[in-house]
Amino acid sequence: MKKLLALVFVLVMLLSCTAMADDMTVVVMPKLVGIPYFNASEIGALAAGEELGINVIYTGPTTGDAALQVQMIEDLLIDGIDALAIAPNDPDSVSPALQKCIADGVLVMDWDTTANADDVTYSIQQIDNKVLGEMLVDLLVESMGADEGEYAIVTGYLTAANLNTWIDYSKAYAAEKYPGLTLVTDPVASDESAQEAYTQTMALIGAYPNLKGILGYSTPAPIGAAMAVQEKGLQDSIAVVGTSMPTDSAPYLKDGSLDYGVLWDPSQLGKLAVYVAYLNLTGAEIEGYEVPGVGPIHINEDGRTIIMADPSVWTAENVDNYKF
Amino acid sequence: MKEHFKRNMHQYRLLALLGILLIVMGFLVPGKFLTVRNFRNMGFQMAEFGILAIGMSAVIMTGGINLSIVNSAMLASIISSFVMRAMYDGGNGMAELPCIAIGIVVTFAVALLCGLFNGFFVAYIGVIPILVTLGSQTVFDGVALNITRGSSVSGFPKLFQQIGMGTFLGIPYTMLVYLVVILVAYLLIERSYWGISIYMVGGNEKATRFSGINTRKTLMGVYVFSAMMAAVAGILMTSRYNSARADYGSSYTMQAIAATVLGGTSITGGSGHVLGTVIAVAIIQVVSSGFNILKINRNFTDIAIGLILIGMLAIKHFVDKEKMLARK
Amino acid sequence: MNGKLKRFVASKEASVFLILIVVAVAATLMNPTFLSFANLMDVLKSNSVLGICSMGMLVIILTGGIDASVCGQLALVTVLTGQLMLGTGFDNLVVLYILGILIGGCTGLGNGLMVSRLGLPPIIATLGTNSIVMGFIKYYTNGEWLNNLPARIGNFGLYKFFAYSDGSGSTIGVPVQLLLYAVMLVLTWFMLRRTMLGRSIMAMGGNPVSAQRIGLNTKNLTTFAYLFAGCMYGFAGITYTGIMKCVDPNAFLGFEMDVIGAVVLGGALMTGGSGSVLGTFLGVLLFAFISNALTLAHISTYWQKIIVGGIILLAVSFDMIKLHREERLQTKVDIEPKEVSGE
Repeated sequence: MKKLLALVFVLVMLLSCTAMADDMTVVVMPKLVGIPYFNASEIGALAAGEELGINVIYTGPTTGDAALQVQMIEDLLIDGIDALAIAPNDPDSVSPALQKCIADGVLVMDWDTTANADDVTYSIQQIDNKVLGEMLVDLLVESMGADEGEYAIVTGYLTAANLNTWIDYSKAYAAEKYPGLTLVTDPVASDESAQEAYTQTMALIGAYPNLKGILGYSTPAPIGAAMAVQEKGLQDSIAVVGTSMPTDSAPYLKDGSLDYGVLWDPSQLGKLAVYVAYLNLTGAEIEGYEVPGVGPIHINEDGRTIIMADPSVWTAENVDNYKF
Repeated sequence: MKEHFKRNMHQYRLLALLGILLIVMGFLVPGKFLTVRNFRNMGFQMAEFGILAIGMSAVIMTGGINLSIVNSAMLASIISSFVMRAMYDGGNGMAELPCIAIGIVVTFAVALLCGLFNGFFVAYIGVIPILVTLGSQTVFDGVALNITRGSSVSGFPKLFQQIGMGTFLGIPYTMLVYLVVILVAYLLIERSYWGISIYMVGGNEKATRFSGINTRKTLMGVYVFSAMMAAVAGILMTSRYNSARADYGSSYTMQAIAATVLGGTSITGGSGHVLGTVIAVAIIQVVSSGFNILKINRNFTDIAIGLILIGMLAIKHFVDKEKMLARK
Repeated sequence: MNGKLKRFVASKEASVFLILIVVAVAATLMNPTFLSFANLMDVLKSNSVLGICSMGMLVIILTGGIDASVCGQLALVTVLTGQLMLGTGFDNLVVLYILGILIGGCTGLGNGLMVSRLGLPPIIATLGTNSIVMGFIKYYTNGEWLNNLPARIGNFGLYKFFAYSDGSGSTIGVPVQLLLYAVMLVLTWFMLRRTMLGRSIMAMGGNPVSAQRIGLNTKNLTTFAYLFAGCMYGFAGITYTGIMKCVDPNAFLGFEMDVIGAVVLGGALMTGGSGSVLGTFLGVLLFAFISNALTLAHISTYWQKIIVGGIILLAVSFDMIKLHREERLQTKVDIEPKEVSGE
């Protein structure tokens, strides 16, 4: 028995010594895997890996639990990685783990959702949060056809940092620019589920008979809200605007229950993150680099933030041009 | 010796499984898995989950369940975070050490209230635990969301992070805390009068009551114990994540139940060992870390743990049955 | 009749009913919309899936078991039938329902066999099933929604009886889901109360040891309970696709807790043997109405959770306090024989 154990031990040690080939490994970690939005960004990230001939790993927790994300970062660090691009579930919670990465010489960036400024070398953002928050309000006013009336907010989780940021920008902007708009109640959570958004919107429509508009944050929320509006036959009296994936929203845009969907192409975002990591690790010039299919990179004055583009808006007319 | 081996068969089987998993992982991730660095890493991670699982085990041993354990941990952490932040005031307020001490006391106090809340409904009103804790889970979560509005709370003394990140002779503090908790839990549950009453209540509450034991006190004690474990885990988590938020660790609830049952505690109560839970926690940790390092799709971690759970319990069932037949 | 009424007042159903009335009155006072026909129908429609699933869960809980795999089973049914519809354009509703029931039945049977033949504790067997099934579904679908299902399923979901238009463009009527739910309620009631099978399940849940002694095959009865539940989930799954007109593999995460909560709120005992179709129906209504009423009453989202938790605790404590009072009145000692479990 002892001999067997010793043999196993020796074998393990031997195997341990055979170091692997030294490829560049970039890890792109979403908030969670298995939802359409982050699937789309996976496609872009992996495509970039193939274009550049580097090893791209796209992995994340199965639920949006910050604790799980921290564990995954720590575990990946054991394997040795060159760069980590993370969409943090919570900026504060991943901070200690990201500091461990930095101490290990790993290039740390954030994408999709910003991490704390001290923890990252680059911050890749799909859009300017302020621009998006304000754009949603403008589009809502446009589809309501009036700059006054009651509106409600349906969000994903009440704890989602990026959604809360957008909501705050929207609320502030609405209060300043359109004083006639009144938010009827606190944001209603839909737990990132269209069914829950549908149920909650049904109740909202019942509770506030004068409701004129609904803003949906997180991709399933506007769909669920549109379902409720469609079922009630209120396409003409209630405007729905929100962040949604074009393929999911197409049927609702076409029958008028969803007025505008706003988002960016998540696959481009994944691609951009990998390119920035590659350029930094190879020591190439990042500013002005032309990423195929995305465009030139521009770094903001803070030397850290890279904003991809203005958000795209889908309408009944253009939605079929997008395939994600 | 033989008798001891027979009685703890399940735990030895778990230990064997753990050993096999370690060796397999060692082969699959050569030079990285069986290293001091990785064990330290797993030590950092395992403590918070293991402590929650022990808190869950004690409740399950009485035939109950505590679905609100993670929520009590987070509610306590959030309130103590607010207190610590206010006192520390970005360095302008109190000194670091007393500030942290007060924070820890507050965590325990809030968790105590949560435990008393659950215990009151279970022990004194007699509502079934799954319902009480389902309700209190919603209430605790609601209170936490209400005071934080869903965002995270941070801004503690730098020193506080050391609890979750520091090491002593290369051993993470979290691991040391975990070891102390295991010892205390073992003594309390398996070596004390109160511990015996836990098993008795789990076996047959009515008979225990008629035999003169104050089952209400026992039950109340169990929920308070569970809440104390939540407090310890909450402190470790707040320190490790340098912040507190209503939904941290939300995936631990179901995992803690799985670890408890994998460890050999009967879900209907009356049996189980602290060490069984501890080994089960280690197994889940090794699978989870190993799969992460191998970069296997996270979904397979869930599948693997599900299969291990069903497999080990099926073996246990058949071996137990054979033993019973053999005795006849 | 008088005797029946008295028995009802003393029953568990009565206390759920009482709380339901209190919630309804409070909600109506805060916002009269609550009691409108349109609102009530909307609430029933969106909770019909919960209601149908709760019938399956009720039968399992009657045997003293529990099912934590509702999420996995529903996801499996909706994803598989959704793939079929997308792949082939197949839209025969009757066949889809039969397929759904078959798929649900298979996973239910698997659960039942694990519990009855492998002797696994129900919560573990079903938790295991859930993590395995969900793991595969998520890996296979990557959480991708299935859109553009055949129009027929969506139209079916929108169908209403006695429909009329209220002028503002909304159609008001009795949704088809309500009929489906009612059929399942009657079916379950009939199975439990009017067949030997159902009677045996009730008897077994109350006392498995003596049930075995009087010659009931408890293993087969347990297996049947999970099979029955699986079929109910299958039926619910297709109904759900009809409402949503698309399939989201992640839609049911955490749904099992709602279903268990509704059944237990309706007065069923987790230890088995006690519970009723009427009670469960009231439990579902209470569950559905609380959330609807809170939104209608303009209560902030952050407070809603606290109030929902509070009402659950109140409802379940109410029962126990009543029970204690009765016990004190009839001071008799009865020691229930309990099965020696596990080790």
